[in-house]
Amino acid sequence: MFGIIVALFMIGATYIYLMFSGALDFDNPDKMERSYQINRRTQGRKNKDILKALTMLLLANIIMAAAWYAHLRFAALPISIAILMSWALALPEYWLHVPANRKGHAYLTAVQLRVIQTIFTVAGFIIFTTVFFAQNMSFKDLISYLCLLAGAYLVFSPPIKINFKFRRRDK
Amino acid sequence: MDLQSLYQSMGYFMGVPLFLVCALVLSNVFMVIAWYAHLRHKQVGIRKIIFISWGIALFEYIFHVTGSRMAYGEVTLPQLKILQELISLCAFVIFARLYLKEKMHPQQAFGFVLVIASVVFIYNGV
Repeated sequence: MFGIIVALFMIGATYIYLMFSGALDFDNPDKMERSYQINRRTQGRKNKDILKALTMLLLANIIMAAAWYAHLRFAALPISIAILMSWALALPEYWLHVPANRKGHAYLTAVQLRVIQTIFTVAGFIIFTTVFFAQNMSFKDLISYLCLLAGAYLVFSPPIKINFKFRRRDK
Repeated sequence: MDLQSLYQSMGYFMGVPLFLVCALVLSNVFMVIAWYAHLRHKQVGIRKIIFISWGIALFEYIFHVTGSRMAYGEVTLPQLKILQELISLCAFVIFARLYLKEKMHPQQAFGFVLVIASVVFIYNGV
């Protein structure tokens, strides 16, 4: 249960991050001036496309977790059958994953997409293992997931610039 | 050659079975190609791309399923997942440099330190 809550929190944080970065915008269009309303309409379409892409990515990642790890529960299965079953599960994954990346790439940068992909792959994995393997997530797992996500963000994001110049007092 | 004896003979590094690392590296080479090679071919239809990617993914799954099957038992699920993420990160960065010609910067080194720390932490504890 703890795992599901953490996963939902991660997904929610992604949506909130996109709202702050301006990609998603849910202001009420009726309050806007007339000249802005056309813009609002395109924003509405953009919201719809981004939300669709995000949902597709999330589903793709849950299916991917199933394809990668579901066979581990059936230890008696021969390896060749396990490979073919996993590969068959991968088809719906690719069916969702490739169009989602194309749709998302119209509005989001490749960096944003890749960070979202990393967050969703961890969240999808947590959801899948909690449901299918009935595993509880430990605090240790949570710490290493968060460390992983922070590292992945640093790897994918363009260099963060911090201004080290402090104002000096005139002598 | 028997897979089990190969697994035993390859040994461990920092508590991580090297057989698993090799299998995941091979699988991620194919995965990164299946996922991102189409970004340079935007004119090709999307269905064709899905099926070509899926075809490449067969090799990904051969290595991934074999590796995780051999290691599962002494390695837990979150450990498998976090090692997989580290290796897919490395594969993506190398692929972006070679194929998509993206620039690298020193900040990425800090990111890799954090990710490696998370792998070492989940395999060995503090």
